[in-house]
Amino acid sequence: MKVLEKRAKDTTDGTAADALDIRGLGLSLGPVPLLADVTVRVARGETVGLVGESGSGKSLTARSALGMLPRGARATGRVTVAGRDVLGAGRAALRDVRRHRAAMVFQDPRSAINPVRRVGDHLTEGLRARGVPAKAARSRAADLLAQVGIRDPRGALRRYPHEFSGGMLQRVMIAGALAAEPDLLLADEPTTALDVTTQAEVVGLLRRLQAERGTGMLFVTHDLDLAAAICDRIYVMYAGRIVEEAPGAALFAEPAHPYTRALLEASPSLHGRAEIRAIKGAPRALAEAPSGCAFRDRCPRAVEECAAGVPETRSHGLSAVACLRPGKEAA
Amino acid sequence: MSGAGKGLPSGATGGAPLLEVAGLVKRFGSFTAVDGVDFTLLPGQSLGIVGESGSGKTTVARILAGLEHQTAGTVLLEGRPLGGRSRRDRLRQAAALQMIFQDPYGSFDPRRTVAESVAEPLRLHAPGPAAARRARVAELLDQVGLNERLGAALPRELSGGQRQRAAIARALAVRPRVLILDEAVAALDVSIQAQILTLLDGLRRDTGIAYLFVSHDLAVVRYLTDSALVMRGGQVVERGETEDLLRAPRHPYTRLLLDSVPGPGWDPDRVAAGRRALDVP
Repeated sequence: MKVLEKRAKDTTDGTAADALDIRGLGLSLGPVPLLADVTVRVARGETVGLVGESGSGKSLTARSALGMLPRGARATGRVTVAGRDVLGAGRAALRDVRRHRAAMVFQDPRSAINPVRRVGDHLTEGLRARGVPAKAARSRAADLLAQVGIRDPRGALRRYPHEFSGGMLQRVMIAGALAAEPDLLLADEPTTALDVTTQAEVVGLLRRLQAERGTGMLFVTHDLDLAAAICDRIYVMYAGRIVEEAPGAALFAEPAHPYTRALLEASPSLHGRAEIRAIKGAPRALAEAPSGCAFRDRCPRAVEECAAGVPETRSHGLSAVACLRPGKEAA
Repeated sequence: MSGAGKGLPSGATGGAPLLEVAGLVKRFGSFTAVDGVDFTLLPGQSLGIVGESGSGKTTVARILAGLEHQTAGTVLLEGRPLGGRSRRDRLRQAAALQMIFQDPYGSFDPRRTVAESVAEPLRLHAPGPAAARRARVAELLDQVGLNERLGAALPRELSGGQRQRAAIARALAVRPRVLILDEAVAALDVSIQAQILTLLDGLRRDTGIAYLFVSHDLAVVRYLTDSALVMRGGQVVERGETEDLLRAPRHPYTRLLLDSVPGPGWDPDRVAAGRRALDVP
């Protein structure tokens, strides 16, 4: 019911904007560039994957939605969450975004929750800050725990984080993230620290809750298979830039960027082909990347023009790809 | 483009078992981490141990590496019981069996260069002229794809993938017959993981070394092993040729593990239901 009321309100005050709209985001720390020209959009009710290796900038991008930039970083471009500007936001506006609009689920639940406070305190904190009376907040928190599949939710409120397994604690964190009924859920490798069978439960839960509430979800992961299995659209990042955007299934069937293709060929698979093909070299951060296309020194299809400038994004099949020679035809 | 890891010419595995593990039990207080595990590892064979956290797979690896002592059961390494405490016994065991960890950072002396660390086991096992040792270190580093400059670097100056290469070089220094790899590629980026996997595959092809490959990742196990054990709650619930195990799992837990791996048409809710069904005995 609450969800419906909130949606109705949103349309009346004209904020049917995308859950997340990042346009041309650039980020630098002194002379060191971190992100360049990153554009990511998450519609309401949509699950969008942000995939990349270490240093690609995927976590930085996700954090920018909460205005969490590295200390001293300079940002250009635009970031809005449910229509509200984040980069230019003052303290009060930023607090509103973090309290009501966007919530984050981190990789390691144990390092994201205060270990000496009861789970109930963690869950009611945000609600109390919004002025919900203590008793109502507790009963709401118990509801949330029940929704994420915690047995005996009332009892769980009184327990400490160490009394939960990793998978159960991640459910608690998801309950906490959803307490504010955010427009946008940011999930940064939320299942990487969990066992495979637990991963399926947590992902299933995220998907179900998100579908019920019409929340937009940005799912940050290094796992292409996982992203393809659950995301409507996927962005692939390399060295601080978006190199490809495609519908989840299409990315697998027809990867357009040589990096995406190389990642797929480097991943061991359970079905079909058993061989893998390693990519030479190591993933780069933006500051260490070569001029022009950042992938060109590792790319089997690179030609001289690739050094001339950063390739413009063009469409290729179902993808939008930043490459001069996309596709799979032999070089 | 070698094809999958099982590229050893047929007949290359065989001979007297390198490792014979029988009735292995390890208890920590009242908790039984390993509960009656048996297997043998033949020369040149690559055996996977698959399981989730708490399955006991790492404890098995640690017992074999001599880092834990079993509560019951026997482990024979090249026909002789493992666990001798004398210097001679430990040297003999280390010369036959080496271990690679998930993050080797903690096992390198931070103040020594990579080359010095790789030379250390040579000094212990094969005393001889320094020049010969230096030549062998250079050969080892080259074998794992590290150049001279990286050999002269300190561990902290290396990336995760390079550090794992250094750990492999050091483990290979004494020409062991078995390498125990505990989640050795789990912390690496996909593109780096592929480099280490192809390196390990090539090493086995070239040297006939045997692997005991402990991992939670079924796709990686498929790539690198011929046969595998599936462990749960300290026990082996299923064993067989890796390819058969993955194509036609018989135990519901193996099936659950397989279903848990995301892929096209993946249904997390079905996995969750399967898991709940297994949790109720």
